[in-house]
Amino acid sequence: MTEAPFLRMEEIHKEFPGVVANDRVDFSVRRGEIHGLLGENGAGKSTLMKILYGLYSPDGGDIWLDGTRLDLESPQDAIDAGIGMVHQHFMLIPRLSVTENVVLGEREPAGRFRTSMGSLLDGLVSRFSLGLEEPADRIRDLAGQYGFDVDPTAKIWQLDVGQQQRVEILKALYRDVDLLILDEPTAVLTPNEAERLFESLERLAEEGIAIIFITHKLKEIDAITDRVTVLREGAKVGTVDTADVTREDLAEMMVGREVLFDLEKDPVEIGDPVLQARGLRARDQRDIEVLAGVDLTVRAGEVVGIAGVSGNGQKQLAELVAGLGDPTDGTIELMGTDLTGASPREFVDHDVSFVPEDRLRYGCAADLSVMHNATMKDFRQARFGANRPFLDYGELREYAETLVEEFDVRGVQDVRAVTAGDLSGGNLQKLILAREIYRDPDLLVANQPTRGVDVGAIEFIRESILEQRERGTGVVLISEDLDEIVDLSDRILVIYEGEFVHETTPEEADRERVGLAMTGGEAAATDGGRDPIDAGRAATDGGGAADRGADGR
Amino acid sequence: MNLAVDVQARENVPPWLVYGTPVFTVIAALAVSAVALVALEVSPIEAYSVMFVETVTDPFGIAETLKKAVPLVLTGLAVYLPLKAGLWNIGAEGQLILGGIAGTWVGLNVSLPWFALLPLMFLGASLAAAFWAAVPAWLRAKWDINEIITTLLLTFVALNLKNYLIRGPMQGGTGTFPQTARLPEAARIPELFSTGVHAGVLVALVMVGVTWVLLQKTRLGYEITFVGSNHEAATQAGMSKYKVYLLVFVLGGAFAGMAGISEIAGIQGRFRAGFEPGYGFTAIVIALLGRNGALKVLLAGLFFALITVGGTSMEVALGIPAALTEVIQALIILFLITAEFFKNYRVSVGLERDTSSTPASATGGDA
Repeated sequence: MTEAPFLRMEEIHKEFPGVVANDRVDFSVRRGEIHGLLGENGAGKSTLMKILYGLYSPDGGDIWLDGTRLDLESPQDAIDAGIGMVHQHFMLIPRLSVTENVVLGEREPAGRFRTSMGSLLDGLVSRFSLGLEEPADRIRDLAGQYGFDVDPTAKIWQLDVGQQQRVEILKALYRDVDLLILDEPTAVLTPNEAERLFESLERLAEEGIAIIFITHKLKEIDAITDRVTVLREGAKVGTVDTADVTREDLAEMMVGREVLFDLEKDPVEIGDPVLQARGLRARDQRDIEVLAGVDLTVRAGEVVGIAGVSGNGQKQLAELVAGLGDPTDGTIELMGTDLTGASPREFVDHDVSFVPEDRLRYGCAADLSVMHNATMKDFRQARFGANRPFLDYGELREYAETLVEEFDVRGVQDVRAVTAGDLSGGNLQKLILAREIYRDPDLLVANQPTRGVDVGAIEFIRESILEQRERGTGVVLISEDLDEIVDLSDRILVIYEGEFVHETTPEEADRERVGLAMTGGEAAATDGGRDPIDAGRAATDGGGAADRGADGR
Repeated sequence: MNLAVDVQARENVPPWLVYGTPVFTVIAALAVSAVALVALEVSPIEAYSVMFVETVTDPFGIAETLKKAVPLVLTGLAVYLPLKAGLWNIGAEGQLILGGIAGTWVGLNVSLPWFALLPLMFLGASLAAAFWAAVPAWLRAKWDINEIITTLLLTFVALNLKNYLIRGPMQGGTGTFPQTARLPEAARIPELFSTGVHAGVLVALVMVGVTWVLLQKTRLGYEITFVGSNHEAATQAGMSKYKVYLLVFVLGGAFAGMAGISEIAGIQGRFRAGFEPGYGFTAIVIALLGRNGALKVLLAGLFFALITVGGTSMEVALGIPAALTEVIQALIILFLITAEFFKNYRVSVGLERDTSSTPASATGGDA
């Protein structure tokens, strides 16, 4: 610690009713450093950063930036002090251009008005005129300086997610920040885009900008940070040099116990098909075809992993096989029963379980109690009084308590009083998974089950899925996380633009090739050397899909 | 110096606040209204004692309040139940009028003893009003057409339909007044144990009970609550939004229809063309105040009946203009709704020194 820290946060304390979100946290960042801020959901990372960005006021503690004590009352104060933040959810207006988005909120008069006016007119001009030429030039310069490929005149909606994120970073750079906070920046990016982001961040750090990188992905800490601070339950566990620690050490600091990275996957006898979908086609709201004839067979005791970059039809595929919405073409059979066009209720009754990608929108009713949410699929069952006039709320409560207990959902004192919206992301996901698994489904469709979930919960969720596989459930696992797909699946399909373009097994998976197929960079061709079972299966479905993928190119 | 207002959500609402707020706010509203009363040289204490104390101590006042409460509670339920499923029934007034007309028609054209005729009238009223409410529900469930607009517009259709029917085919009685013939004795709702209150009050109480049981005890109620909270998650769980939307509107419409016929057969005795009581609109406020439970709707309905009846007696006893009683009623409603906010949020107001060093950038004009 030779160099004096650029940012010092001392004894930051913040309490919310009933919770200590930050318990006297010390945190410091040096100039030109990429500093990871690691912790599970609810560990207090966001609170600490919101205090630094002026969104929350701390109950105690001081913030020093470059030797000056800061008193931040709003994000504007933080920006004035040279602190910028890129939020996880972009704050951009799609219809406006890059420049317009960047200057939004800045008052800068058009160039030709700038010089000669009296003070009153200047005020008016700065309030009402919009000069975009100079900002556009400056943005172009900044983009060039840091190697961003962003056209200042492009509209936001024309940009892909990675570019949009660079616009967010430009927004901060435009305001001359010396300290940049990135809140889980890779959550929305593909692996390749994340790679590019890392390169950009390194450039920024070289220029002397201090970067705080919030994440709960250990891999990213390894990849990019110089030092890392770990928070757990509101308190600081420690700050370490990234080079000195292993992933296992960090995970243990984060969770407070040893974490298993290698999942035990026992061989399971694969049974008859539970799901047979043939030639599925679907369109999205804009009437664009998002599924272009997909065949998918899932057998009892088999996990079929579907890898792909978000937006290539996974969402629609998951919804179709879970019974939400009807395909424009194709058939869906469950355990030999044709359920094409059947209501969601029939799919539920045929023991299909679904863990949707958007937890808050489709997975739960945030305002209702944990009890309601735990029982939303099973309340019609006989044990809750299906043959009596009234619903047995006592039994519903007991059932919910069982789920909370067995799946270790934390933060639930009373299942009737705590609402689903009160739970943290990981605990809510555990509750949803508990609901979907505890009914012992024949088919489990899980779309991004571990996205935005902390390490401890991820481990638990993955184990639960594997356990369910051993009980003979067919599982469709959709994920952008290739590691997850490889760890859990028995068979891997890669989806690109609504078609399966590549099929492989975890043993044979060539990561580069899978990664390439995900981005449409390679015509699909499966290599030889499969065992007989796989070959046979490929002939029934995956192979066909791969053929079409090749034809389409 | 700056005026600093800090608003924070309350984690727990203390019990004294839950029960105290309505009382405090009503007192505050009355205090504000007192200014107007003093300006008219009426003693506020005297006015309020007529409005409240005399109304609830006098048997006649109690009877009037209960009679007034019947349509208010029923239409309140008609708004409340769809609200539980996340829908707004703004058209309870139209449903009430259609129910009144259908019930009146049954009462005038069917000859049966009272114990058969009255249930038949209520049935007819409920069916007509339920149908009227089912149309917007179907449009909403099937085509996602905003039910606020359709229910409101159908109210105007109902009002004009009523004007036509009462001046045209259903016109009756002596002369050519725009009204129906008088309902026969068998079609009048009997008085309850000579208290001056008609038996419609029992209907209202039973329907409060039905709504409570439906929402708190049944699978349907569970589904209604779920659809109201997040209809997309409910669909995913296999619940039918279509079914729930139709059900709450059909039942809500039926409640409003009962309100209509109980008012005609219990009080008016015949349907006059001028019958536009506005209960269906007051019901929106009642449902909002009582949105936490069917029993609260009952209480809110009774309270509104009280201020209506009390307001009228104040007008009569002290010669206060009707407009002013309406002002008082409106102020009470406004204060009550505002109080909901203070119940859930803690607001602290204080003066603090302006420490900001950037007033120039805030105004821009001094640059």
